[in-house]
Amino acid sequence: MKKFDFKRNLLNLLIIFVTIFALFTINFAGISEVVFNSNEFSNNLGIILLVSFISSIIALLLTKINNISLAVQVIIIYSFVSIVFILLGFILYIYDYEYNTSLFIATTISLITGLIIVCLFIIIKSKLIDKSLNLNLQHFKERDQ
Amino acid sequence: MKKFITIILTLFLMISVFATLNNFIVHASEEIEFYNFDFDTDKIRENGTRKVKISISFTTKEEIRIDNLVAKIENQTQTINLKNQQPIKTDDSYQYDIEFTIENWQVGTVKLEINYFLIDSFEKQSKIFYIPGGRWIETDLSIGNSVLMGVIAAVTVASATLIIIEINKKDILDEK
Repeated sequence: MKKFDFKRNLLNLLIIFVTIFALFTINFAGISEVVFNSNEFSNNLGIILLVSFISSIIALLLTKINNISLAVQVIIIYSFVSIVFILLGFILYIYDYEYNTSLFIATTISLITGLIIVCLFIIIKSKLIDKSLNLNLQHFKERDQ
Repeated sequence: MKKFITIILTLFLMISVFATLNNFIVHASEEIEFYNFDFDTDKIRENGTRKVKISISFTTKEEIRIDNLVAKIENQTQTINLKNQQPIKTDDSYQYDIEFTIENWQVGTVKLEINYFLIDSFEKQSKIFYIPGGRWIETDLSIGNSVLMGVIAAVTVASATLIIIEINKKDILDEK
């Protein structure tokens, strides 16, 4: 049975938390500045911190699923982060259908496009690594023969 | 008899005209001039409700007590009470800086009625100003800005995902 490395997991959680918090802060600060010409977004930093922390715990747990391919793992984590991002936007009244329809649609389309690009990137990268490994293997086989 | 009625009617008419004119003159003389009227509008959001913050400023030669502001936009009327609004005294005038918020201002012009009293009078007077609005309030973001914000969101989410995946990969390799 594998030993649970508390220190390593805590460090990973911290890195994921900082990443997700930075993602939310950059986006919501940007939108708040562009939409409202103000920094009122800072009033919601408490909610963002809390949601980032809960999301990072869930994301860390998702990374622990090892019996799935890398592409599926990317899809799960990307979708999870995107859904939390959009939901938090709704809670903070940034993405609403009444006033910010164009922003909501543009963000959703961009996120879906981003997911496709990231998946293609991961698949192509995996294929290239596999090809390189196969070539190496072939090389070793030829040498042994 | 006919002559008498005519004289009485003429007198009555004269008294009416005199009273009306007198009233008008009294009011006209008491009206306060508002100088350097200026305004600024800003979109804000409070508890999920869209509002417009309006800042107005003006000066008067005499000190006045502002009772309230009545903002009318099409069929909507909103009263803003300003009982404790204190002016800033300058050399020869009084400077008033007022901030208030209006809800649901989408389009159209705001008819702003400032109701005030003179310091030693209880007679309410009012001054009307018009604050133009525009369709800029209705739409928050242009299509271009929306696309830009969407792309930034996608790039940051993708970066975050790749960082999380890389951490996991490094973890697995280290364990091996």
